[in-house]
Amino acid sequence: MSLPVNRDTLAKYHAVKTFRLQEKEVAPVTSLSFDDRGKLLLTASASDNMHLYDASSCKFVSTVGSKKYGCHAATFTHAQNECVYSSTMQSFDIRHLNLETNQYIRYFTGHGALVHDIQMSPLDNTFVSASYDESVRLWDLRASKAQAIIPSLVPNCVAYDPSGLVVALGNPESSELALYNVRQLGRGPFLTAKVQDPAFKNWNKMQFSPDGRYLLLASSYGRHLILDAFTGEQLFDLQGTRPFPLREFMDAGSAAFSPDGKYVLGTDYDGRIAVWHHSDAISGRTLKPSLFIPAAPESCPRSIAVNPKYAMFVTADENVDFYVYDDE
Amino acid sequence: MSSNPVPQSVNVSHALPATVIQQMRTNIDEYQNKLPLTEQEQGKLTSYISDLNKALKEFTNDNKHVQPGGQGVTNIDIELVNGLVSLYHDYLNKFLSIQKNIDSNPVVEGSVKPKTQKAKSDSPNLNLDKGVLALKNQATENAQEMEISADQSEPQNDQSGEENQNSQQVEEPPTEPKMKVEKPKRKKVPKKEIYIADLSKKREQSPSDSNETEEVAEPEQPSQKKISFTKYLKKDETVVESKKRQLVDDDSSEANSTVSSDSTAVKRMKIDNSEVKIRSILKNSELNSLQTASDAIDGKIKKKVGITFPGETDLVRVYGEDLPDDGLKVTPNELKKLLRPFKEGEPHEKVLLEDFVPKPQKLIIDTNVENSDISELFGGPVKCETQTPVLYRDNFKNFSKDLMKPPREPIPEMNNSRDTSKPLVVKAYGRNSLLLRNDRGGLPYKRVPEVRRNAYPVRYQK
Repeated sequence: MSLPVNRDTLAKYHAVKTFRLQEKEVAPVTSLSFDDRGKLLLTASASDNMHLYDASSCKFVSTVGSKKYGCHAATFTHAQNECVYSSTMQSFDIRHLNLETNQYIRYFTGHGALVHDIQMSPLDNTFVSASYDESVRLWDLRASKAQAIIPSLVPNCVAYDPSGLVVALGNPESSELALYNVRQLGRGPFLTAKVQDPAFKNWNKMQFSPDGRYLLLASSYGRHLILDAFTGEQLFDLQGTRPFPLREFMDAGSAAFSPDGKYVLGTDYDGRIAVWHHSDAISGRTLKPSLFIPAAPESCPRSIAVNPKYAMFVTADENVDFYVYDDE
Repeated sequence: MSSNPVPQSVNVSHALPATVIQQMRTNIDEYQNKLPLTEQEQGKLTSYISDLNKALKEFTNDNKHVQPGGQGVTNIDIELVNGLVSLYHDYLNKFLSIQKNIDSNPVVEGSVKPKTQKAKSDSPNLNLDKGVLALKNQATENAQEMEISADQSEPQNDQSGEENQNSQQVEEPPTEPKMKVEKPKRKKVPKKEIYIADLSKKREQSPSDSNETEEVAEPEQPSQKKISFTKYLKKDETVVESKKRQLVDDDSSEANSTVSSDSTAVKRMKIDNSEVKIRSILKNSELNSLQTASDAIDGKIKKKVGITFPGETDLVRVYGEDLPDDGLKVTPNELKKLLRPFKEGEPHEKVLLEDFVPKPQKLIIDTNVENSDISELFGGPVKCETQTPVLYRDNFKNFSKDLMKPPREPIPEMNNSRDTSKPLVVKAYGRNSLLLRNDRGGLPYKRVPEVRRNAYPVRYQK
């Protein structure tokens, strides 16, 4: 049975499960990643463990230990048995891990500081990484060395558009962003833009909508912006949520597009998830949430990830909470 | 001072001729390497000593006038006198040391080198010596008796049998009186003579040796047994002693058998201890782990050692505060989860909606992207160019059971060293381009933030 995405169905999402480590191991969850089919969820925690969940049944599958190298920014490749994640110890290499054999396939070497974000291309086996070493790098899964390096001040954000042909690079502190043609990186960005509101500085995530029309700049401070993905023009200002207290390190982001790209779901410091409907709105306006979904009890989630295929989404901070559509 | 190089004041009338000195020099080398000496050589040695003593005394008297500052005395005179005196002293000392060695090793061909208790006490193998001490005492006593009787009888050359063994010691050269005088010195034995391997010599000293002498070790074995006993001493002294007795105490075969049976019994007990089959009910006990290891070696399929409950819902009742008086019925699995809610590294699951089986439905996603360049992953027409097999792209469930353990390191790449290509440095935009300048445009370095637990209070809807 399939479910459409609309305001009514979104309103019936409920928190069904919470996963929490024992107190001595509790640490912030730094990344959330669904696989291509939406059947698996991989989280990385500051406790140097990753956790694998079955998203189609909301069940815990396995802990993926990485005590030796630490873990951060874990993401699936196009294989459900492989993931790449960045290291926090020993070195800052990105590691390609086979979850079937529990053996590393390759180390991607070159970064000189923590890699806080990894984005997999939707088109092929390449990925981009954003690091505190003031660089964004393009990698191929088959090679240990980077294919390209883009100098970038920190903090920085990256995102692939749904075609896999365009990479967006953003610099929140300078309120600048640029779009690069992946196949013509040597020519530099084909589009640069500046965020019009200088007060909007602390955004920590970029995401293209699945239809490729919009570019979301998400923050944890009660505001998100939606830009035109072709021109960089600011279209919508999403407000109406309580901002979270300032936190320096970057996480999985506090807002995300729905799978159809018509809604944005974002976390609220009041312990709820806000839903904005921008697809039918007139551009250039400030939008308020059209509905709120209560967060899991005794949970104050900060980051959110929406399942690309199934009617569920996940929030996280120190817990991992599963929300599923329940028409009852 | 006279400049005449020829000594004029030295009286050499009583100095030893050069030929004698030469002969002495030759004989010193011979005698030092040739111990023991024959009687003739010994006589020569004695005469050399007396000659040297006499020459030294007379020469010194004759040349008392040769002193520094003496009338007509030159440096050469002084050097000549001192040189001859030192030469005589040197040779004398050497001959005396040779004679001393002779005294400590009596010149009797084919005789036994006696052993002393002092040497035994210096031996590192004290335990070994303890066991042998009593036998040696008896052996030396017997040897003394035999020597006395041998002195009174003719020497015999036969080396087999008790009498022959005894007679070897009795076989004495014409210098019998000397040997008799030196007999007490036989008891002084160098350290290395202590070892039991000198059984042939022991045999000669102990007439009570049994007929099993042929089984006794040969003279080459001392070094071997020395090594072996040391090893045994380090491992187990009791075993060493028993073995020692077995080799040395040929007198009593019964003692040997009992000792050997004791040693084998010790070994048997040790072996038996390792074959205990009783399983400890204690979790993680050593014996339990040993047992499971041995069973694994035997190929047995091992289950976890522990107490398991059958799946009975009426099996467990929990009583306690805030619980019903008649107890709370729980299944063993539920109880297990209550008592041990957390596995190491595993998050605890808390179900928020009871009686709800979370089964997310598949979404109908309407994006209108058919005529676009969007990837199939977002519903578009463009295929994802990945070489991942279909098996691993969907419905994969065969995750490793050891994901909690550290992953294995990757197989080293062979082409890494040959890959000299450098990444493309892409043109930066805006303020990022300042990074490519030498001075970074004055931009400061940013500190990498630490990931810490939230310090702010949690807010949530009740």
